Amino acid sequence: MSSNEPSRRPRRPVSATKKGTRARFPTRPATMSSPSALFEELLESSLNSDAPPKKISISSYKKTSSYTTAGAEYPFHPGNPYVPPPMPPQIPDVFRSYPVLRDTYQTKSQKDQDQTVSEVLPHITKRGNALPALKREKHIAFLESGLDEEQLPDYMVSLDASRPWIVYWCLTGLSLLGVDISRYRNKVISTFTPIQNATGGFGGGHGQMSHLAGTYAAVLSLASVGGSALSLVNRISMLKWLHSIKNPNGSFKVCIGGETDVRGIYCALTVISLLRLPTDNGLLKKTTEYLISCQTYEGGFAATPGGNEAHGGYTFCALAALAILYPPEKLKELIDMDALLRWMSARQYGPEGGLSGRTNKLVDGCYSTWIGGCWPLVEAALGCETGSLWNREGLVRYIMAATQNDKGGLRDKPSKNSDFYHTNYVLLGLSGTQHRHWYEADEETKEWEEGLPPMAPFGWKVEETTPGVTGWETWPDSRWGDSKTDRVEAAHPVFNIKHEMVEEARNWAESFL
Amino acid sequence: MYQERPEWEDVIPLPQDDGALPLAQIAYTDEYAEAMSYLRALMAKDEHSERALEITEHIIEMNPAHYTVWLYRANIVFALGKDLRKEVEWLNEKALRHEKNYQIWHHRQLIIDKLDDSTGEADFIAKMFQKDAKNYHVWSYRQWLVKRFGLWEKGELEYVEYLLEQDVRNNSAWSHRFFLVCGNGQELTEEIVQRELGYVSDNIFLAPQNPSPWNYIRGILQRAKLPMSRIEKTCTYYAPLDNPEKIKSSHALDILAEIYSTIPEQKDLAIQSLDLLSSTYDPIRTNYWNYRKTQIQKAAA
Repeated sequence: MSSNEPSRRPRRPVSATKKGTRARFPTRPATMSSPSALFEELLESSLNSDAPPKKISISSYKKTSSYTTAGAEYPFHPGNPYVPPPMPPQIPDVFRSYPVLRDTYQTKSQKDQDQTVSEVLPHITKRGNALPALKREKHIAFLESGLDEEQLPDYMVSLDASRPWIVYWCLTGLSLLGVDISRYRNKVISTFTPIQNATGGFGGGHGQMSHLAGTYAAVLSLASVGGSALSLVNRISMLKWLHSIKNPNGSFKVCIGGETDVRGIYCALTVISLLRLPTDNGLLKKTTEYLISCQTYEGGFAATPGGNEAHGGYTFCALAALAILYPPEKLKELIDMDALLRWMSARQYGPEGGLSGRTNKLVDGCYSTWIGGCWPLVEAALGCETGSLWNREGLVRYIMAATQNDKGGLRDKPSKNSDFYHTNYVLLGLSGTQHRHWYEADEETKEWEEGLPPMAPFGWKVEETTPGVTGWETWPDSRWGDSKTDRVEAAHPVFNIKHEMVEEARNWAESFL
Repeated sequence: MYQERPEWEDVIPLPQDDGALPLAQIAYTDEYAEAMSYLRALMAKDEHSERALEITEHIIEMNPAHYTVWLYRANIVFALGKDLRKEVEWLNEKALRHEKNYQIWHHRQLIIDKLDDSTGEADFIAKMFQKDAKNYHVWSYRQWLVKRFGLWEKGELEYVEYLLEQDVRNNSAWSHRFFLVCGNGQELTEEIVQRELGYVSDNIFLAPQNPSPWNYIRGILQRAKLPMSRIEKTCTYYAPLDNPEKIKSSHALDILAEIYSTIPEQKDLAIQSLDLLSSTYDPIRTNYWNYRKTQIQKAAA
């Protein structure tokens, strides 16, 4: 099914419906009378001696106002009939018990897996079946501590070469939670100014060599705060540096003298595409071939074509890299989509509901992005209009019940601590469960052509999943009444920042072309 | 402290510039901040010296993820013609302490490549695998070793079998086996396919619900351009469709569905397999099994 075919369902483009965070929360319609207005009406009628006092009984009050539906806001108003709290839906068996088929032969992998299930089960089945709400304020406080604290503690020196990552993780997590991160714009520009090297690219900190990971995180952070912060990047030296780390086989070294794997290609393509860099002189020569050759016999992608194992992180990098070069429907011509689909689908385990990164490895919150984030790309590639190919409810259950730290932040699994990395990638995964992405090509967003910047990733559209629309259920919407407080913002499926900031980056690039 | 030592007197340390409004600034210890300042000064001159080597070791001890320091160190080691064996020994201890680190393994690769000798590497890798037999960096490094030193037939297959005896669910070891059997451009002869079929079915027998050998044999058959029906009997043994109570493996059901979907008159069996997966044997993947069903129905229509 082609992406140009008109949809049978009405679609709400993100830009039209998601202006800011306030619109997402239910507010009282302006026409609804307030308690004080009613009181004035009563007073007026009693003062008017000509007319008999107007009887306003509780029942007529209920009829003339909509307070019964707004009961959540005024729970103690005497006019409210008693409405018992809704019963949480029964947890489906698949999330309550061990799988039907379990081998008796024990090895370390099996013991680790059983241990994880016994660790996760009490979390996902407790509290009378209800799932905990998103601890929004606590997660916001946790992520803000990464940016606003005067200084991070000295044991975090192990992240001294990854400071652009800390900024990207915290900014993206905050923006998904509905925080306006444009207030960090000046600080982001100031932070990345000394980290940009005159020879092109960004390092992990001042005086460090330019590295594709740091450069990726810096460019995404600058794009996320908007307002032309991307203009900080020296595009000319960036392009020179990218050429200097390009390998003849199509891949990129992560830095001069550094290692090579598909992470490098994904980071480089993100930078090239967002900054609208020209790709002549063979900048992307053989890159497609390299990416394709990383698909393993299992169906997922490995770090390199050299015999590695299929892995969630590298699969996202390879797939997103291909989605920067090509519109999604082209992907099925390039790779073995049946094998990829089988492997991705097998990454979701019951009863945990969470996603794992490799065959016979454990679920981990961060694969909510690395595997979860592959799904919109694959679903669009296959033209899935009727429903999701994976179990969104399972992942929501795992995220809400097992990855939230009571003290703030999100984590790999209950026995682990929360950190900025997991907080961001679990939130991106949660966002994925609450949205549906599709692709709409325009005259610019076509397949990459030698010499031109890749434009394909700018064709993605998104809408919130709607309660009651079969096939795309997300637990808080369709199975649990009104749970707007669990909603997070839409992320872009290729770049993993807030969706609308990618549009802004596109507009920014138009301004200098 | 470097500032108190005479051999560092000539170096003017370069303090770190974090900009006026830094985000995510780290409260360095004085020791780290000072060492980094002296390192920046040496790197600015690209000095290759004993003292430069010493300071890289000091910083790596405090922060082993500092890629810039590692690459600088590699340059110094080669420029000074240091004993590469000693460098490897020093690395061993680092690798055992920091298991998830890209830089250590990249550095090791540079050193061993220069040394042009892989003696002792297998023993050290075995130590790493005792800690975590699925360590991705270590496996990548081992595959590089096999290619760089042509170790295809030098006990690799036996080592994989040893690891799979320890844990038949070690998918990294299965992946390495695939690399050994197919990664050198070898032709998959009938003899090799037979050997692999035998090895796989022995291991499936131990734990029929282990996905690794099923994925592996599917990959071998695909690479050898053989039909999946080669393993139909194995599949029906672990997933007898006429007696669903006795099903032991969802992976066997999955492959049966694939085999039957290609034969028009057995389409119903394919649908039955997928229904069993969806309802009972792998229900968390119901949407995927249903998708497979619609694909079969589409092909038939």
